[in-house]
Amino acid sequence: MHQLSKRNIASFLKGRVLFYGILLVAAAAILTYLFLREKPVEYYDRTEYYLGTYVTVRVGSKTLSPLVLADAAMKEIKRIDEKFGGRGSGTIAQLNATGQANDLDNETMFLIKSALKVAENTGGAFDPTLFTLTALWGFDYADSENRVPLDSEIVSALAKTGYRRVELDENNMAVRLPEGLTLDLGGIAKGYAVDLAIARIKSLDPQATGFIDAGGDIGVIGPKYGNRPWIVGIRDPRGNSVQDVVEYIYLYDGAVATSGDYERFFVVDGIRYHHILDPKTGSPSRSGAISATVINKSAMLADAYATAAFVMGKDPGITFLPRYGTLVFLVMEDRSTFKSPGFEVYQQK
Amino acid sequence: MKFLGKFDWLIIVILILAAIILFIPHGQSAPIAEIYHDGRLVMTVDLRVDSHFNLEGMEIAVSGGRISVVDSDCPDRICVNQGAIDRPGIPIVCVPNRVVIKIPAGDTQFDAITQ
Repeated sequence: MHQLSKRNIASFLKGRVLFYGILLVAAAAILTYLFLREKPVEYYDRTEYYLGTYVTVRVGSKTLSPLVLADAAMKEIKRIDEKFGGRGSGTIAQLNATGQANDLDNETMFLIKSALKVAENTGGAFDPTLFTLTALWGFDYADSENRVPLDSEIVSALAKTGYRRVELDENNMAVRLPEGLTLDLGGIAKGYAVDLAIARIKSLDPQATGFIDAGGDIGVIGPKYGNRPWIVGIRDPRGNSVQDVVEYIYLYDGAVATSGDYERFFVVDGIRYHHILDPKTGSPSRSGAISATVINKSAMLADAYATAAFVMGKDPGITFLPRYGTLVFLVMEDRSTFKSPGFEVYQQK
Repeated sequence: MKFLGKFDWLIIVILILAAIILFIPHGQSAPIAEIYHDGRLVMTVDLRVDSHFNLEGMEIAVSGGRISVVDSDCPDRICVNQGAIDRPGIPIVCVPNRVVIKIPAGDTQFDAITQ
């Protein structure tokens, strides 16, 4: 050690104490900051089987338990499943059986009106009256047998379709169907359930974030951690695995849905017959599109417009969809793609 | 006279090293699959090791980093038909057995798939 005078030792210690003092205060400040700063929301996942598909709710909240929110959302989806899903029961089944329904509730009227509106906006590319055809091809229920119908069968089934023939009486909340016509809300009920579940969560906690995925119909509750987008992969329609993705989109809000020929199909003599029927021909749509992804504010509309976009393909009519708040991404048979102007906005973070 | 001695520098270096170690993000965790029954995590499986086991009437296999349900006593056998998964995104779900097999999303590319 050096030989130090008393004064030197004193100043030496003073400097040292000061230095370690500052270090200690800084450490305490950092620890307090780390402890007090807002913790990122923890997301809670729940998956259940409703509306013929797996529904996943991922939700996070700063004020409420996410379990409560997921519970409320699932209850809402279950209610819609019981009311509009399933076979044989419910208002819609009764309407189809008798061809007439009076005193419908607001919700049923809203769904019917929405379905007819999309049908009108897409020139009938989406049609909620195709059930007879769907059944003919065996795409109605999971356990139905698929077969290629005769041309004559298709022609007679086509006669039992047509959204224009649904008679709506809004004053009396009544709907009338001409002989043979069947109304099928399956094409929009799933998306509607997502919209409703999101609204239910928002009513409990307006600041809640997360998303709901009902078999690929995805509606955003709120951005990830409040400021980041949810990253949604668009399934590769010819991928080897369901996890293969062709494009990514970044969603802060709104909804996305996809229709693809890989969802339900059967192959006869090397020809793929898929479940999205063209209301004009009564056969699986051959527009050249093999997958159509649609972004819309509402999951219900995204779902319906995705079906329409699949049927339309690159038809000039597709350029009208953005005016209904609908952005389209198509994958064609030759693996080329088509995007509505504006879709690229959702491909940036 | 030096303001800080050797030992002070040693302490500073140790503190800095400790801080760096604490703040380095925890490295990529091992690839695992989580198996839930009734919503509760009942099992985690290391996907790097091939294995084969039975759970809730289901025969589950890990092979080549992928996990799949080989056989199940449920009526629809959707879980068996789904095949093997090796990435987060789409879990294997068996509703009758109330079993969910998923690969936890760590630093993944996407949160959901539209299909």
